[in-house]
Amino acid sequence: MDNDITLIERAIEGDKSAFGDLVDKYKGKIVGAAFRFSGNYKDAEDVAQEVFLKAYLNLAKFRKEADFSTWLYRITYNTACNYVRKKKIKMTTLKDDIRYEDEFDIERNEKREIVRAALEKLPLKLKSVLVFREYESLSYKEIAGVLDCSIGTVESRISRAREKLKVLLRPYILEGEKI
Amino acid sequence: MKCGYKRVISSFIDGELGGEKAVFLKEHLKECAACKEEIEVLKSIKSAFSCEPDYKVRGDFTETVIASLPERRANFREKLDWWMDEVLPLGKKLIPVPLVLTAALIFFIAFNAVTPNFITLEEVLLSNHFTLEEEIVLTDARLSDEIALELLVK
Ligand SMILES: [Zn+2]
Repeated sequence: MDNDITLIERAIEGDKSAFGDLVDKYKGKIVGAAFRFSGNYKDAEDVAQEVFLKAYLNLAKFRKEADFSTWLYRITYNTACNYVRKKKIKMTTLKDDIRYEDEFDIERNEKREIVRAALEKLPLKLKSVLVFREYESLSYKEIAGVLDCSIGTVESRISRAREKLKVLLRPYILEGEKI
Repeated sequence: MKCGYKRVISSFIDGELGGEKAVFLKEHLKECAACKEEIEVLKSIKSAFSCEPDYKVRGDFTETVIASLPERRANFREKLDWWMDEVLPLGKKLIPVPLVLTAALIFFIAFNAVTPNFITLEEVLLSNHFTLEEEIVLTDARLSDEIALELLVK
């Protein structure tokens, strides 16, 4: 984290290459999270770009005792929410959009599609906690930090989100195959 | 499921349930089929998420971000320099104006304070610092007839 702080301080003074190092370090996480919220790859990069721009402009407001990634996630969440509301992005088919690291078999893609479609049906409050928990692997404490709420709230939202998913995914669960 | 353990089970499969509560739940699971099933279902849902593939962020992403950054911050140093080079010297040029005015004001006030008021001869006589003659000369005092007579006698 010391390294982050140094880079942040240099970036505040206008050192763009220092900020570039921070972007390199966190772009995977941020584009990933933006992707979960916006639903497609093109929008995800637009959102992520906006996130880093906002971060740059507000670097001086970053409290150094906090985790930089938590702070970025928070900006990502707010930016993505606005973006989604503004553009009213509809669920797009991910097949043409996503870039795979490796080739995934059709079966796995189908599972992904099913879960993704179900996730899209959740209210944003419930969707966001699952995104941070399941895709970004944040702890409850970290999620509470990102969303600026209590751990109890995170706990209850995740539980409610899963309850809803359970209903939405019931047909698949009942078929006996583990999704 | 009627146990009311839903929330606890959700936390449990995330590994977020505190030690004591986890022990308690594990004990409960030994005798509750419904909760056991709930755990299996939630685990199944949870595992579906990890199927999401990773993807590569566009290679020129960082460059694009950097290109989008405004010059505002980078200019901070330049702005500081501009203040040092342009505004401060101007300030120095303008310093004499208020300085002269201030000096004049101070001088005026001081002069007024120092300017002696005419003292009466009685005060002179009471002070005893100077001889009567000296005081009269110093203060350009107007002499009353009595004093003039006294001096004349001396
Ligand atoms: Zn039970």
